[in-house]
Amino acid sequence: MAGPTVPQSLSRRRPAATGDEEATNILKLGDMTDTPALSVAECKVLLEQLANKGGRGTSNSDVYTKTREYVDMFARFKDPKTVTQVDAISSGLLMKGLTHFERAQLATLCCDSPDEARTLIPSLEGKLSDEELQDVLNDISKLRDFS
Amino acid sequence: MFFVKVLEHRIHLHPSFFGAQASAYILDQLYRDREGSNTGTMMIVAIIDVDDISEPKIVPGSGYAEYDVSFRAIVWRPFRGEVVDGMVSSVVNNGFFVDVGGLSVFVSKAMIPQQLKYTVEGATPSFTDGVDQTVERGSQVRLRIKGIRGEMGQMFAIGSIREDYLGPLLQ
Repeated sequence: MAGPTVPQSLSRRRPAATGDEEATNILKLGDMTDTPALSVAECKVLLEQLANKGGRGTSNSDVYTKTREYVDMFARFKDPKTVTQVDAISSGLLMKGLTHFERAQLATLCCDSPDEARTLIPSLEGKLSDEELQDVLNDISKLRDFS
Repeated sequence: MFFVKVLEHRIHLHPSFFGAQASAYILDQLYRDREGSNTGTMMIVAIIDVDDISEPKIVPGSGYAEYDVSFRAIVWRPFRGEVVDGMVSSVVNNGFFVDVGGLSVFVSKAMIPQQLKYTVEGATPSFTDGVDQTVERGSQVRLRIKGIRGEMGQMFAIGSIREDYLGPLLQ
């Protein structure tokens, strides 16, 4: 072939995709493993507190606005005191082998039955007995705000 | 899923800002750079507080001072296999788009149960089974994220409602 040889790659290679994180039957959370997770209601309370603390004012970015709207719409518990109670109930589970991710998922999804919880959070399989799970779900449903 | 994560950011300060206001400027710069950013794998929603601002190091050759700031922030990171709730933003004939916070998830026809069929009533397209389940713009839907792709600054995802306990939520 005539002409100068072209080098293999002219552009900087993209950083390797960390790629294999998943939250299916096994939890592979990459660098979020062991990071405290927040349920949607907890995040709403925290964002409100940060906004009220004033000082810097709130961001005008798209991400921030959309996230605020999202948590306002989907928070299952509106009152900060209720959120603390739910946190106390679900934190007991951390002692029983649940991860931060699973605890936050339980508080966010508010399932009615252990079957629903295990279907929606596949990694829960085998970690809690039906009665324990049903107890926690009942406690959480009692606190739900249906307004 | 929302997390509270400790992150680090490197900031360069031009010598004209060396003075009493330097730390205020650093914080401003941090908030401007990181709050509301989308790294392609996660979104930084809000900075909670700053843990530590390192001692500045002068960069040889340019005179800028380099600070390593460590801060805590609320981040949002979706995972493949995670179940999330979202609001439908638009319906097209081969699926619908759901807004989950700042992420737009596409649920294609193949990932929708057979009973839900695409119908257009007047000007509103929707997926409905004619009885009690309807997915239209503004409906709340529970879906499982099946795949995520990240570019710098953007995330794309596809989801499914073709499983037990997924689909439109009763309002």
